[in-house]
Amino acid sequence: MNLDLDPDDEPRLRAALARAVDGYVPPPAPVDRVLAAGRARKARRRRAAVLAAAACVLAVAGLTVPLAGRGGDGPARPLPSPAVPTPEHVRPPAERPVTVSAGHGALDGTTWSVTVEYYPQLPPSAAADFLSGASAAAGTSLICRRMFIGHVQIDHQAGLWAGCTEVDGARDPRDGGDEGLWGLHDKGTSGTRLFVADPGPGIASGTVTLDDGTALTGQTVTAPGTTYRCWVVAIPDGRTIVSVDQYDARHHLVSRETEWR
Amino acid sequence: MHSSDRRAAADGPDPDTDADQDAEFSLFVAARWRALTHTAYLLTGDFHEAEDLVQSTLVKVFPHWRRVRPETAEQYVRRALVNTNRSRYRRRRVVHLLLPSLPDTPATRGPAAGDDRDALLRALADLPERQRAVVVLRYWDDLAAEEVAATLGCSVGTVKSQASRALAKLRAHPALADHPLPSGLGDPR
Repeated sequence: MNLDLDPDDEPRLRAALARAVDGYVPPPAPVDRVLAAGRARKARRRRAAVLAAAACVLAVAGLTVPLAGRGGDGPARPLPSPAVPTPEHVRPPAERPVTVSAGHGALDGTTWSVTVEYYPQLPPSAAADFLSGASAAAGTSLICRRMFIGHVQIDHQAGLWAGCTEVDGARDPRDGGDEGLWGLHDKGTSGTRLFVADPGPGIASGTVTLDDGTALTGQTVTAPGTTYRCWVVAIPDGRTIVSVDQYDARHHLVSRETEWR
Repeated sequence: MHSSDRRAAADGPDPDTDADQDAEFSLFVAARWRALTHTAYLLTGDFHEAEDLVQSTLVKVFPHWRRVRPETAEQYVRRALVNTNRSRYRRRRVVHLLLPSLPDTPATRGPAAGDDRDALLRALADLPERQRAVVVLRYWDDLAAEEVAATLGCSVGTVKSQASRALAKLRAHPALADHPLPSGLGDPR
């Protein structure tokens, strides 16, 4: 087959796409199911907004009380100099990420690290990568698992927000249960690789057994104030995976997978 | 309800406004479900995933529906669909690479496997995610390059270059060479 770029290509491709969907008849629209799930999601967002507002009120109250307590007859003390603003200081608290290190080390002569970042509000610069800007105003959250090998962020070609997933607040039950192999080459199938799991509740650790018998164990960490978890191990170049086991806090085996390589 | 009314409504629960919003959203879902599912099918290559993708997209969109203007609702939902698919694609791509036995092509309820339609789906599946989205939006949803650019959040030039590269890859794809499409892209000239 040898097709040249010509004006005929477009109608031909359109016809081919029409043929591809021909015969696929979707089931009736699950309007009720979508509405029910949408309402539940909306209710969760409203609850989260109320909690965030309450936290702000408490924070302001906590600042006000000590300031009020300064009143008295003593000589006026000079106010402290304002701190030099930095981007983190300038950003409202809700836009600052909550971070936790899931693991780091050195392997194959290079360093690696994985950090979990939770953004309570979708950062404005990420809005274009996810829902439209309207969602940023509505407070959509973001969970990111930042993976580095040799100071190079995996998937950096996909932009600043590669490795991030939109979530609904700090306790979105949809996040969890995924695993992946990541690397800088061949989409995680060769070279030094990171096995990164965002396990569901109850998983305290994971062990990856390699073809040479080595057992690598990662402990589950949780981003503070959230239910977003992560455990990670680094796979040396040239090694393949025999099994991936996950354990609960009592070291009881919860799951075993043998399809990873 | 007009969009400005929706935006003017208070953010707090308002039974009347919520009921209007629900009714409007339900109408949209009922009217656009089939078209969205077809788009999702071409994006994912699997009808189960297509239906899941459209459902999860609509659930995500629902809380924002009050802010969506009627004239841009279609584009808004399509953009959410593409972005949700992008997240899904990123999370699963390694699993699919390492598990070739997983069905990446439609199962029995979709078009019959092994025919030229299946070949095109396999060729589409091998395109990078963004190129596939460009092909589906441009040539299936029939959007102008400017609309595709707005949907994907990129420039018109990027859309054109991605479309050109995607067409070149589709032409060279072995699945299409094995399954010439009598009235499609694989048609010998």
